[in-house]
Amino acid sequence: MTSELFAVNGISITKVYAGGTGDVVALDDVSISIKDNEFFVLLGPSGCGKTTLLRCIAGFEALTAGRILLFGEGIDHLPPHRRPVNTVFQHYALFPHMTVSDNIAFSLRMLRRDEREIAQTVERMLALVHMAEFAGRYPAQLSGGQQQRVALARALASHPKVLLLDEPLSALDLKLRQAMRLELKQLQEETGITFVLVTHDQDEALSMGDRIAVMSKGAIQQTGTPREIYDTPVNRFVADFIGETNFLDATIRSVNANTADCVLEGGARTGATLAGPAARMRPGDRVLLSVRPEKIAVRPRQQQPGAGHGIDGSITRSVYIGTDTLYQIALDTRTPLIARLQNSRQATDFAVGEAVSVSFDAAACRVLAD
Amino acid sequence: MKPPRSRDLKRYPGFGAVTWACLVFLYGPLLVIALYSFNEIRSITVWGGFSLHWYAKAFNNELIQRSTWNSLVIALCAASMATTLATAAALAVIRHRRFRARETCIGIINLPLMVPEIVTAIASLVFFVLVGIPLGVGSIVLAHTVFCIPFAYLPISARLEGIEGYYEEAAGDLYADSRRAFRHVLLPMLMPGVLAGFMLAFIISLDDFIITNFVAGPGASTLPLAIYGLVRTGLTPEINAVSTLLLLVSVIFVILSCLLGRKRYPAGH
Ligand SMILES: Nc1ncnc2c1ncn2[C@@H]1O[C@H](COP(=O)(O)OP(=O)(O)OP(=O)(O)O)[C@@H](O)[C@H]1O
Ligand SMILES: [Mg+2]
Repeated sequence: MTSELFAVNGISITKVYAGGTGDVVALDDVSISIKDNEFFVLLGPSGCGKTTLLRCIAGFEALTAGRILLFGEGIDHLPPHRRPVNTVFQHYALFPHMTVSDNIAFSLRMLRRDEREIAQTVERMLALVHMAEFAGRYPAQLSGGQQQRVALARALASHPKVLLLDEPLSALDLKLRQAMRLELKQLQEETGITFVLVTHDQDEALSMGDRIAVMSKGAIQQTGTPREIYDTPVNRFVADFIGETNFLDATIRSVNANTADCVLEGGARTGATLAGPAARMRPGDRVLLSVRPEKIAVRPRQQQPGAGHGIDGSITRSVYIGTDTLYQIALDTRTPLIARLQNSRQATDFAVGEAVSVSFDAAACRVLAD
Repeated sequence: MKPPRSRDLKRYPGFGAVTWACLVFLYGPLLVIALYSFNEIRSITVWGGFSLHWYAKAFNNELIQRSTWNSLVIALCAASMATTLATAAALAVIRHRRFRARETCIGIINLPLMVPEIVTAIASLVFFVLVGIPLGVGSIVLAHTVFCIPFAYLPISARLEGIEGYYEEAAGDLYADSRRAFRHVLLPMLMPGVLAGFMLAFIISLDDFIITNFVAGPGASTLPLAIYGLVRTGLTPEINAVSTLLLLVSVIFVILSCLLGRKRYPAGH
């Protein structure tokens, strides 16, 4: 059996918190493979178990069941201070009684490196996060963004094999958050360290992650590149959580390779893509389809479509949002549909009440597994 | 020193009178003691001019010298032990949330604050005699240690409650084992509380009379015991002088203790 050597390999991780009022299953049989030198993002709503998974990797929580391998070696018996993994905490947890320099030097001192080497590394780290002029300050004398950089430098100083970041940007304001996204990405590329970042912000995940694992209720729903997650969501949760989408009820009429011919509620026909867990769907199955608003073409009704599947509807609302216009369209079955049309491409504006015909490619329409 | 709501409070009938009565009865006697410690003549009621010679006399009194020394040694030992034990107790109770007997422990630690001191005194005496611990400086240190623990515990636990658990996790994450995490991260952060607890314990021990009186045995004397002995043979300004000094030390320690308990880390300028 040849297998790739993963930076982090979680095998059937289960974590149950024993509580006074009852047990909480925070992680339910989670398996995860994070590649070396990868920017990996754990994305999911509040309470889905992201932090718990990170804390299991760092060693702060003992697994109820399962194993974690770090570059192929089991680490479950190691306490946090023996794991070559560092964490950037959500609240930074900078030591308030130490200067910026001493904070950054902490891990190196604990590893008993010699002071010359420590001084050099600290200097390098300060430069890396652009904090050289703040070396002598205490954490309380820094802004949130500066504390964030120090926390990063402190965690990177010992050059860990994996860096864990728990919502590192959530305490910053919007502007700074966006700037730090780029910086984090750059930092990961410069250092070559595997980053595992937890967030509940889909924009953050899509813009930074090489790969994303979408979590819900203690389980991983889908893992893939940002494009895979966005374009080919496997289930309703992923399609709904990442970006905006339209859900359409349909029945499969026939299946040809990975394309299904479907009938919508009102009788209109459309093609849809069957892939992943949805591939087991058969003709006659009632399914849910997902179409992204920007993948929908809208034409005036009289211009009968020559190709594609035209579905009749009428505009019920139109919202101008600068680059695009959002149209709410009532299909004749009364299912509401949102279409997003780019203003630069769209020559004609549609008026509210106007009769239109909407269509989308089979490739842009996904059959969801559940 | 006026609280912001004082304007409303002042409207209550009798507020002024009650306040003044309290101040007079509380601080009046202390002021009188301090004042007459500087009296020229041997009277504690009639003013005969300013002099420091009662202080000189007190400093040269061999009984006072010896008992002061005893008091300091006892307070230092008792406060050190009480602070150490209180720190350990606070860590156990606050840092180990799943620790089952938590509530009970807090109760037991604070119990000496509720038990009448005379009862503790008699109980301690009986216990020492029963177990066969000789009465003297050693037994005083033991007794003081025990009843100083709740006083040391208060500022230490308050400080510890305010330190989030993630600092120790961060230390562990950065390769510090639990001993070094305590030594390099938690203890320095806890230090103001520990010092405040130590000072409070020190002053409680230094000032104690009732328990000390019971467990001192024949030989050992502390400053409060010595003052009590002197008072019985007649009041002189010498006693005022010693009392004033004791008061001064107490006030300074209590103020320092409060300041330390409130200490913040360097903030922006
Ligand atoms: N120490 C604990 N004791 C008991 N239950 C816990 C504990 N920590 C977390 N949980 C529970 O486990 C579940 C997952 O929590 P976790 O903190 O991992 O969520 P999260 O995805 O990080 O959420 P958020 O985005 O809000 O931080 C939640 O239901 C939470 O209430
Ligand atoms: Mg979390």
